[in-house]
Amino acid sequence: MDDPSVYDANLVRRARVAHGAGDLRTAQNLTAELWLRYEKQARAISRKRARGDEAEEVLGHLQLRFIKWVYFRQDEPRNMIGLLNQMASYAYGDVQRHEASQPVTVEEIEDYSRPDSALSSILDRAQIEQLMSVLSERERLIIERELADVPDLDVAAELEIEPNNLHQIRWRALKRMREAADQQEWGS
Amino acid sequence: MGFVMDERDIRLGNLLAETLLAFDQGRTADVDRLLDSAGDDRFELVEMVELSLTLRGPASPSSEAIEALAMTPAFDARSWPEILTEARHAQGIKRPALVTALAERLGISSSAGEERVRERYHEIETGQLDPRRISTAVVDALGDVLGGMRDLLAATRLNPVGPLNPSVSFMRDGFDDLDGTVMMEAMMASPSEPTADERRVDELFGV
Repeated sequence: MDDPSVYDANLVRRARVAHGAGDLRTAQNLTAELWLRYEKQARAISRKRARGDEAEEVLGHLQLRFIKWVYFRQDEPRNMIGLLNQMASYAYGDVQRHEASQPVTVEEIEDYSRPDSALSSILDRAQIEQLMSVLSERERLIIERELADVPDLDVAAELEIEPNNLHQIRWRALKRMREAADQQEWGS
Repeated sequence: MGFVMDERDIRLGNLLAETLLAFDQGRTADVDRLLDSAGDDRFELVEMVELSLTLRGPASPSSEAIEALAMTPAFDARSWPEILTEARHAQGIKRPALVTALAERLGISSSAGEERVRERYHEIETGQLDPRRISTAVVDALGDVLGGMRDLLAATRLNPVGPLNPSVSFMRDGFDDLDGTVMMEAMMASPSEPTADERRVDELFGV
């Protein structure tokens, strides 16, 4: 499987070249593709900062910051999830300032390179494989089936367990992976 | 080997499965309702949703979805001077008419105040005044005067304005609607205390 980060970096580079050459339509399309690749993750990340309608506002500001980052910055993307997490903390500040009718301050942010948690610094499939090594055979199978979009009912039938049990095992497996990520301290 | 059932893990495991399904189906209101139903465990649930989505990897959007999104205001890569000039010309609005309408919407009624609006607007359109500094009230008023451009202006105000057009330094091109004599008189006049309206305009434009 191709490393998504290579594809992402290529999109960013091409968008910046197009933007620099005045080909705004191409720059916009490439940037829109990059955003759509991670829109679900961005929606989840915005929920870490706020709830409900306010989370949607954070998402809007996060999207704006993301787009400006592609168009106007020079730094190379390493990890989109980590980048979105970093931007989300500033996007939450944007919402607060907007509500207080204060000016936007995007120029203050110079460094989006440091992820805010080990979890958000997962870079590629190799690291995911490494995290999965902490799982039992059954846990690993459940995670792999999920990644392959196999319906929960089918997985539960394969393992001869109830869906409730499946969900519990998956929850615990994810917790163990998160703990493993914390111990790895990636991105430090 | 027996499997230890844990009520909390079952509840959160089920919530995670339901939330991911709601995510996949674009049911944002349900996502929020499910997350909130986790109570004190909400943040942990969100983190697990994020981890699950991270493991899945990025989506593969369709070309139709990409092109539709790319045309929305947030993705507009133009600077305010370009957007304002193009919009004004496209709609055949002369700058004096725009300034009068803008001043009216901002509640500026004196001639001194309107003159200050004209100066500040000129600075924005020629890239001398950073749109990031101006108030939301001006963004909204300008968007209305130019016809339904609030969202576009709000989304693009962070775009850099770039280097000034060389013609700006000579002023004449920038003040194409102003009589040269009036301009000269304004430049020769001795500075005086700004009026209340002038101070108000400067505040609105972040000067």
